[in-house]
Amino acid sequence: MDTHWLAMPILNQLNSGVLVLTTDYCISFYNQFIERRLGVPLSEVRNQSVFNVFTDLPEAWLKRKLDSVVALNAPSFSSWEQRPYVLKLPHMRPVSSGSDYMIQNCSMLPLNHPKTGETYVCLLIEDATDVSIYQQELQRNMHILQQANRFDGLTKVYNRSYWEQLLQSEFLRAKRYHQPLSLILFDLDKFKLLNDHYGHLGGDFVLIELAAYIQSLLRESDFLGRYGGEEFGIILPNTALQGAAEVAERICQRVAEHQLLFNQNIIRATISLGVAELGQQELQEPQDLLRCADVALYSSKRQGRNRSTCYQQAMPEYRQK
Amino acid sequence: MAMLSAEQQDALQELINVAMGQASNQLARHLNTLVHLQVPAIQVIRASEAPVQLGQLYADKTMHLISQGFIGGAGIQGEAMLLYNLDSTQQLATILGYQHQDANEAEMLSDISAILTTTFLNGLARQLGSSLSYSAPLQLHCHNSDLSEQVNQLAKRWKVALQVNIHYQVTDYAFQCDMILLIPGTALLALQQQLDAILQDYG
Repeated sequence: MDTHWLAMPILNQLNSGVLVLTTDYCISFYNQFIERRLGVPLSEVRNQSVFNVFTDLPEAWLKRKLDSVVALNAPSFSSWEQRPYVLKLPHMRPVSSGSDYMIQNCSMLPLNHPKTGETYVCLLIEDATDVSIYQQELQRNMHILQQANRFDGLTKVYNRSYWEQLLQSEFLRAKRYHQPLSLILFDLDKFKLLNDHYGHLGGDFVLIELAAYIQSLLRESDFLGRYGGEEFGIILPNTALQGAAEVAERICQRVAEHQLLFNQNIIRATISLGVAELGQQELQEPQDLLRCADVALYSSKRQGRNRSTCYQQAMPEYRQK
Repeated sequence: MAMLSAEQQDALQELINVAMGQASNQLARHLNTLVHLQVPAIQVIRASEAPVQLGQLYADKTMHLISQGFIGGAGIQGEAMLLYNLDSTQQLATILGYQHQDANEAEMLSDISAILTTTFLNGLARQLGSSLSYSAPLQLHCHNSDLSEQVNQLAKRWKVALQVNIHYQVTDYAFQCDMILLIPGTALLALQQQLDAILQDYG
């Protein structure tokens, strides 16, 4: 069977764009895929510079690419992930894609005329609009998953497992580079009474409001996490005990002054804080730092709450709430 | 396990030397600057050993890993990986002749990789009396994550890794990249047959 006649109909029905250029960037052919989307018959623009027909082309970039294809007789590529499109063409999903133009992968292939030996460059345009939409959705969902994985659903500060990972890595970093690292643990005073008095919605409200308020008092580099029910932790990288104690004292005072309005009731909550620093002792594990801060927190509670205390070696090690 | 015999490896090294010479010549003309491609030392290793070797080679370094698949006649097939250890892509932009705004880092890495891979592999395919088609280069790995883990994933699918260390030098500066060709078992057999045929012709 003679198969030569097949090439043209297939080329025209191909669901990819085929654009053939001469070595001086003039159009010698494009298929129906491009013709229909461009809306200009090939006969009108044949032998015209591609830069006059597609006016938005990145000229310097494309010339560089085309020259390399010709000079090296080797293909060149452009991925939609790096450059969304080469030829500005409409696509078939103008409503649902979130992009005005067809997202494309483009392969630039060297062609040699079998008789004259002249070189041409074929730009093969594949529509990657759908792929890019899926990719966007995937990234959005990954982001949502990551948020869910890292943040506490109620208070929107870091959850315990992610906060502990942060503590682990900050602990190792501080040890490796001999930098200070401090930790504050704090606990809402008499949270049970709050719950009894205002109901669990009231208790939740206080947790949410205070977490956001305390977050606003911290530096970008500090990590606030919810450690347990009404217990929170703050990792303070590159901060020595003195600085951490000042932060804790400031938080304690500001929280005590802060009024929370819940169902026309003003709630005044107080917190007790414990502060510990990595350098205070030869601490081997992040858990040791947690334990020291916890001991100091307990000491604040025992001294009457609504205060901050720094860890000291002589402190009793047991703890009860 | 069928790895290359000493004669086959010699033949392959010779073909690679010729291909590299041709690539060097082409690149110099294209990039319009003095380019020196050192004749690479090749090493044929089991693909499973590649991650360990590379992990040691690039420990504690910021790496870029670009992969490009190739397939040709007579059963030749594989994946070319290019590994770069670059402090800045400014050099790349200069080499490729890009202006500042022309292209981003990923694009430049894809470009230089496609150029290095295809000029070299086209030459190699020509020696073997064949030609190759290529997939678009794909950036597999960015800064600061575990390189050997990435290579591990790749290497699982391939049997043989042909490690080609390319030193790419341009007059005013030098950058180095490593090329690793991963070749599956069936393609290795095809390659061996072709090497044997060449050895017979010259034998």
